[in-house]
Amino acid sequence: MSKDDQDDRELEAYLKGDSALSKTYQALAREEPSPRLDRVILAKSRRALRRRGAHHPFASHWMVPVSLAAILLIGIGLVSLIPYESDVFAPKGLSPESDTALPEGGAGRSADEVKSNAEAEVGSEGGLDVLREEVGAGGQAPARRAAPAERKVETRQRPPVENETAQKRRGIETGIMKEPAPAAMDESVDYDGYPDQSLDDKMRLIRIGMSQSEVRRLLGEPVKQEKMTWIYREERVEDADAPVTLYRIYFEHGKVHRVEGTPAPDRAGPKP
Amino acid sequence: MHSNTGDEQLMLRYRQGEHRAFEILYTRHKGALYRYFLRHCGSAAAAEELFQDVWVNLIRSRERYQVRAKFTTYLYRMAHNRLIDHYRRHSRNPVIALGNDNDFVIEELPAPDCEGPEQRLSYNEATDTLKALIAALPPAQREAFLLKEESGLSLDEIAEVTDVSREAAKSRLRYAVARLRKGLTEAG
Repeated sequence: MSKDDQDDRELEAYLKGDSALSKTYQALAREEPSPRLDRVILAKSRRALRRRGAHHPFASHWMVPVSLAAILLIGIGLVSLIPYESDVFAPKGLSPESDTALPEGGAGRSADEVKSNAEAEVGSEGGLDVLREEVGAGGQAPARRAAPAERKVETRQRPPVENETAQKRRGIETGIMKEPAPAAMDESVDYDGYPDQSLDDKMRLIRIGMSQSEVRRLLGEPVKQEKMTWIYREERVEDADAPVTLYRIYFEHGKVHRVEGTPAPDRAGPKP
Repeated sequence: MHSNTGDEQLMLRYRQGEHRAFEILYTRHKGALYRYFLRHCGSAAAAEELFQDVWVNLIRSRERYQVRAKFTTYLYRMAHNRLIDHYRRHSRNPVIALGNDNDFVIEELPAPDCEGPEQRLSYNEATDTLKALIAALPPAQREAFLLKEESGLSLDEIAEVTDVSREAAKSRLRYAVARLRKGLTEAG
């Protein structure tokens, strides 16, 4: 029997597990890693699983669709707000449709109807004069009431502000509110409830101006500055034989907060 | 979770986040794997370093684990690769070819420091004779023997772990067994 054959038989016996060599080896000391090393490795495993929990496959799997859904919802919400904001902030009176689209406590009131109603109010109470008297804080109202057909109403955003001297010369004082006027229209404000669309027509403006008690009540009402949501509009009232008067109406949360009236120097009519 | 749950099932559960599965796997295999490294390099410090590296590698790669073979084969394949890397880094012979053929590499690698003549002579006691004989084996034969004794791998699995043919693995094991038997006989 050759040596190779003997080695093969020994190997077969060894592989069967009943060799003296295996028994001798298994009798050797069974060294183990140190307990410190055990703790280190098990701690590494726990940390790895915790990190995995933070990046769980379920979360990562749903992250994209959930994000897309959230973006879609936000987008729909913003798109749905666009028409409403346009109604709020679009300068009224610049387009021919704006007059006919203005509602009076609702929709559908035509410009002619508004105009006729306003004429009735002006005729019954002398509305524009009263308003001018209020905003002028007792000063001489520079504008005189004229026939409705001779008036023009112009609405625009932020015309040039007249200086104080010119205001005094025209007998109209501004700043009847304690608070300073806002620097600009804040389009991000909460305009819930604002605006009353009927304010866009001239007669509605007059009616607001005539409500002296309401204006005074509003003036006396304490307002928290941080919650103020300033929105203002400017209305021009121009009589045929009177200087143009600019009315600046400040709203807060849809309510008239104050009204300022100044002669507009650039459009001023013939001096009284 | 039963203690007799298969290694592969435990590894799958660990992949899914069950730390308890890892604890069982670690407890089952830590001793054999540690001794696999300890018998190879003879140094407890080096063995612990390699041992820890393998388990950390398993922790990191757990999510890529798939049941394609026995878990033991998977584990010792990582151990084998780590051992090859260790030998490469600590080799004193810079001209050793480091090709893709690990068989060639591990055959040609010099014995580690612990296998010096002085250290072999220190194994005088009878209980340490076998350890000394194992340490004196060529690395490839030693690895085949340790894979068989410590992890219970078959010839095919040893061949898979060491990336050689079955015949090559059988040859290594045969020579290892023959040398150890001869050494034990001479010592006895």
